[in-house]
Amino acid sequence: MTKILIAEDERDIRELITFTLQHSGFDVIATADGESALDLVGREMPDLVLLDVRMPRMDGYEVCRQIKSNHKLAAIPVAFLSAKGQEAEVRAGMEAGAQAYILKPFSMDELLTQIELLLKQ
Amino acid sequence: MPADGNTSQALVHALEVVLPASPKQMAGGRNTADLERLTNLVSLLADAPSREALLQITLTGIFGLLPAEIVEVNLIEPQSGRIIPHRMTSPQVSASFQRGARSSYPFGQGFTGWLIEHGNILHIPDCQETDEPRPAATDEEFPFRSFLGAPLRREGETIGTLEIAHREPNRYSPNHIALFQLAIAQIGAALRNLRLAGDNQKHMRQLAALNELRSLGWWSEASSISPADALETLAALLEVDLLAGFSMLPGTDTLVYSNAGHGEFVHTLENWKLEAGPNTTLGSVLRTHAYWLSNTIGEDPSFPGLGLPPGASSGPIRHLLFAPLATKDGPKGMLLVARMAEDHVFEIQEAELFVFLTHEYGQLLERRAAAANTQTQPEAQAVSGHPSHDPGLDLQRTDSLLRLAAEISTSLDLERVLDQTLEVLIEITPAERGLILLFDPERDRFTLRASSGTGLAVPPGGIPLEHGSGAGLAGWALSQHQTFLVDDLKQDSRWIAFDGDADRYVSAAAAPLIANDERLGAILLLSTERAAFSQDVRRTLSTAAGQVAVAIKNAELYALISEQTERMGSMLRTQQVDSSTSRAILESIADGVVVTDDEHRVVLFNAAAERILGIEGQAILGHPVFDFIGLYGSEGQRWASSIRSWKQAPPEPAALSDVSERLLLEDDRVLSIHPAPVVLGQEFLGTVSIFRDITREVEVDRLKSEFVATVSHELRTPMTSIKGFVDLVLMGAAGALNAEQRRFLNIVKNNTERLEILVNDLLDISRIEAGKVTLSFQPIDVHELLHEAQLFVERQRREHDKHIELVIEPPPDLPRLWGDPERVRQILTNLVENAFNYTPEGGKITVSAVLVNDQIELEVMDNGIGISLNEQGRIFERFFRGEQSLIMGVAGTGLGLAIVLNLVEMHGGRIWVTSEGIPGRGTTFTLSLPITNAQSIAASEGEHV
Repeated sequence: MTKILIAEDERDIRELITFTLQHSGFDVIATADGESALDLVGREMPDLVLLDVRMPRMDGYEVCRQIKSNHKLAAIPVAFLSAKGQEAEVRAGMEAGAQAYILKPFSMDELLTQIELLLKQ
Repeated sequence: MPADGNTSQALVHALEVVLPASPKQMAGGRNTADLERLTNLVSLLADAPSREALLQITLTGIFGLLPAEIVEVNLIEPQSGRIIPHRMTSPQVSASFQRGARSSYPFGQGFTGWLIEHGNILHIPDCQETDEPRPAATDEEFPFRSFLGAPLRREGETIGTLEIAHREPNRYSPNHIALFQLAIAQIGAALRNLRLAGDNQKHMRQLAALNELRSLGWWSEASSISPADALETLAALLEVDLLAGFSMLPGTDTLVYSNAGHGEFVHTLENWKLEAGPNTTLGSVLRTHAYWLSNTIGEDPSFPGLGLPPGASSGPIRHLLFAPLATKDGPKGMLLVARMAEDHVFEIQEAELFVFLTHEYGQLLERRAAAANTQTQPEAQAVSGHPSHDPGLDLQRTDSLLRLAAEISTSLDLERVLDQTLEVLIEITPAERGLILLFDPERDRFTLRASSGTGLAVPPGGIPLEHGSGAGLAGWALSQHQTFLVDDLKQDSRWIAFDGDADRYVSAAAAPLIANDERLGAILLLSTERAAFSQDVRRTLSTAAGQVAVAIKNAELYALISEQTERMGSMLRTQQVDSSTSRAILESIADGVVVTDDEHRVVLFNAAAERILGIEGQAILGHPVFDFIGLYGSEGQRWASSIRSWKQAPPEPAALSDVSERLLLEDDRVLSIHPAPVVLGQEFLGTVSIFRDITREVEVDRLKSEFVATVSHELRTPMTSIKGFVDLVLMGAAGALNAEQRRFLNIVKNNTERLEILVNDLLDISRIEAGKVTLSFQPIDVHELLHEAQLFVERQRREHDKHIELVIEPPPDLPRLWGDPERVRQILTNLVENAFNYTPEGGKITVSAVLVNDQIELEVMDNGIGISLNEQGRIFERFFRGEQSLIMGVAGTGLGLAIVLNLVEMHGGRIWVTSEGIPGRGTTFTLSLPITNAQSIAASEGEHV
């Protein structure tokens, strides 16, 4: 089963995504901070990582950079989920190595479409 | 709008309004210098000793005052009506035009003819662009393009023109034209002055000639002068072309030519027989010791009023004057003088002088006859004791008149002139009191201005009297142009005794004061004795009156010139005060002000500029502004290039509001700079730049954007949860829903979406207005753009389940647009979405594109509800929502079009709306954006440097 890791400090959103993805047939690993997200990626080797930008202990950009700089993990696609939609922020996300930048608030349709797209690559 | 924009722009605007009204001290004192040159010209003109000198001063003066390559004074020659040009050209003017110069040409041609005919100032900015009037045909090689001309007037009569021209078109600004008009008025005044001075000189010449007559022994007992010599002297004295005597045929009233003539055309008179009976004009002239004068003979050769026999001709005579010749035994005949030249008219003063001289000639003849008789009839002379025939008294009178002439012609003080005249008259006549009444034509009243002898002293300014031109002895003298005697005032109804003292007098002599046909007043001499005044006194008074009249005119002229000089002076002072006021305002203003002149030199650097920039003004003043801008490296380059370009072509005022720049200083302070050109008419005078330290404003601005960004972020997070869970529930993830639940949840979903749009728009507009949005320009394919619009509408149709027909008119082969693809898509999407929302079910949207010059016009046309006319002006305002949008129930923030407008302007494009405001007739938005070309690419690269 396709395994997706989600790191999001906002509990409601974490639950929303977890529920949606499980409902759509994915295996979901959820966490609330950057450090544990990085740890879990290394241990669980998910097929896709969804990262919030602003998180305690380590922000999303840093988590992404660490994933992409680790040759064992670099192939895993990463997408940011963020309320910060300004060009500078989007650019920072892409520069960190992410494959997508999904702006909050997003609809569940949008999210699932994006995920399918990323998994196909 | 940036936070620092409003006040500085208002100031720049105020400067643009204030500066043209005050001298450009900041632009090198230009106006002040102009006025100084004009004042200088005025004083030179006032001193011009002759007409030739005045012309020369005018030519050189205008050359110095205004930009001209040719200055031309064209004078009308009265005799021929031809124009005599006097010109001065700059060395640059081609030799060909010089060669084509005319010595004179007929009236009514070219610009000169137009000016004389119309009597108006004529300004032609470009002679190549004008149909009428054209330069004269003789000016085929007329190389000039700017032309400025005006008629020259002297006392209301057009006597010629003053014209200047330049080979460059549009050389004359409103300022130049105003200066030109001022100069023209001054030249007119100088011409009048010159003529009056000429009149005075003529009079002086005549009196000098009288003196000469005296030295020839006219009045001496043993005069040896022959009648023929005497007549020749008179002819020379009066500057006449013809002088002839007519004598009375004994026993008749008929005058015949007496062969005593002088001048080429004397034979013309040979067959003249003049009737001088008691009821004829000449008869009354003969008996009243007056004169007969006509300056219009040439127009009517039958001499109306003279009773010439048929067939008599006036020949070439233009102006004719008769004076009676009488002895103590009564009228003997008349002397006639005539002039041939059209403009050499007889003045009244000359007529008076002629009467006086004719009388003296009569006396001379009588003395000679008496001398001849003495040998045979010594007793005859003894009985002839009339005082007027006393040569001693004659001599005294002439001396007195000469003294008077000398004194009053050197005095410009009116009171003094009048008092002296009366003193002399009382001295040499039997008068006990003398009065001078001046006439005010506006009030039609006399004022008693001087009184001498007995009676009350006259206060300064005189005593206003109750009677005017039609009443009293003075009124009669003035209306009849005649000097006359009244032997018994008690019998004369004209007499008005205007004060208590006046009642005592019994006889009077009165003379009008007339100069150049202007009625100035009258002189009255009074005596308590009956018939105290003789015909000699009458003549003396008449001569003196002519003198006084000229002196009064001179005094008035002097007052006029003084007043003009004073006015010029006060104008200059006002300008200086204005100028220092403007400077004081600029110096004390809180914003930094740097003013440059037309050569880009710094002429003002105010205290605030010193403080803000930390630079001593003294170090900058007088130096090119670019030295100073250079201190800021590449930061100030746009500012510098603006200043440079304005000298070549001043921009339209509307274009200026965009010109502003920020300067980041080394100490992290931020300055805003608003430069603006100072232009008077077409003329570039310099620039003014306003500085402001906006470090705080920039910081506040940054905090504001940060706040908005944070708020929108904080709003988005909970919105994500709301939206997501509503989606989940709607998807049936929490169990099946009934229809009502589904409908309510859809309402929640729609409003969440609306909230999302609002947050996005707010964030967008706050960032655009803060200048934080930068466009990344690149070529955009119009076909792709329209395709995206189509996809958008299709998606809208599905989501809203609303059928709207979309017609994309396939664009012709268009060049690519130049813009930020994301933003252009946003603009077009917004317009299409509006069209979709405001068009009812079953409506139609048409999107088309067409190339217009360097722009592509994209048109989004619908047949929806339209926009009412009174709302059309407001739809681009923030948060404005039309009445119809509420009726249609369309969700929206009122920010969409405000964002669109901002984005369009950032692209250098335009957007406008057309709608008849009638439902079903729809709305058309037209968006005009620049195409991709070398220029746009270069410009955008410049922006990013």
